Amino acid sequence: VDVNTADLELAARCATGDGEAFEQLYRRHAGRLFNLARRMMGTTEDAEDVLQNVFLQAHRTMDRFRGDASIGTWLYRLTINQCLDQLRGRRARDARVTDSLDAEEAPEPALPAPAVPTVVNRMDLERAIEHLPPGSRAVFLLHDVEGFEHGEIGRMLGISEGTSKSQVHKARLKLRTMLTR
Amino acid sequence: MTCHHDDTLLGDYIDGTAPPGRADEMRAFVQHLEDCARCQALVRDLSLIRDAARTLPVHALPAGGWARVEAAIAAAPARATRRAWLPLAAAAAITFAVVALDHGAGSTSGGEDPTVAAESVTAPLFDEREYAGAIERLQTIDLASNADADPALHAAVRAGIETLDRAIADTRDALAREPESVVAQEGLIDALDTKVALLQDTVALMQDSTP
Repeated sequence: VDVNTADLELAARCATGDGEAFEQLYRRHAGRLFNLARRMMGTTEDAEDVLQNVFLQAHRTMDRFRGDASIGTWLYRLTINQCLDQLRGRRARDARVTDSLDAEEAPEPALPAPAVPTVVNRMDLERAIEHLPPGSRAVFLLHDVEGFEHGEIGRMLGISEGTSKSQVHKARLKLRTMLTR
Repeated sequence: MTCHHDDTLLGDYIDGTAPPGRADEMRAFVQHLEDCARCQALVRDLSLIRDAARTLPVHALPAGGWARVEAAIAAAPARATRRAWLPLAAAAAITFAVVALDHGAGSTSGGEDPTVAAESVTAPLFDEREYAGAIERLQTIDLASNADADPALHAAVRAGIETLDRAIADTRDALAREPESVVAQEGLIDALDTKVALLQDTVALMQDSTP
């Protein structure tokens, strides 16, 4: 039984109110989703809140899961949406300028190069990722950290594959700028 | 030296993914890369960043996550059930307050009970037509005309309400300090639930005692 088939079987059981199946689904996916939420939100507490909301939402809407994507992809989509919603709320409270996924301007690449140290310090990279705009951060994390293909990211976030590629490139350029300061 | 190629080509080159239908453009980019120090530097730096991102440590899931989710799921339908009957209960409370005012027995303020009025405002909004029959029935209760109304009962109810009002005030203060606190929200709902249940029971008791 492959991963997707096992997930679909669990989803079918969840839709009938099988709590044990839902717990299994949680245990299969919560770790990776938390890892993503933690990097999106910046704190363990906020990531835990996101994860709780994601699985609460999944529990409420499992019977509407259509099976046209894997459960994992669906849960990632819920997680990113939850993160972006909460970050938008936070940004609104902070009265900061919001960004949108497609409206960001790429920074001019620094010249001349090379400039990034040959060994990238992980802590520096973690801090730089936190300073990416939420939209770019989401796409970068999904592609470069979580290993999703651009096509999958596009379906997850409702953007084109080209937009996903472009966002990853812009995010890398911004990180390059931050890491060479 | 020009660098007017599509940026996604550079990304595809770094990721080793061949863009469908763009083989010629990719070949031209690779040729350009051989002579362009700027693009060579970009490829080097962005590759370093990508490689470092792939090896970032995993943030471990804290213990107790499932328990939180399980508790949230368990609380969700309970809250919905409470909300469904809250307008009816609030109507009973308002009816009781109005009737008590008319009746005068056990009333310490001699005026409108502001707590009950405020609580009816905080009740979630539902289609009140669903409750119109029950509300109409409750509003027809005329305790003032009941000569046998029990003053001791009114005193006991008043004492209970005062205690509950203090609990409601405390939880409102907590909620004002922490508006996002689920615990404070639940505490206020529970206190309000308890109060309207008391009022509902009182109205029912008075109905039963009416000859």
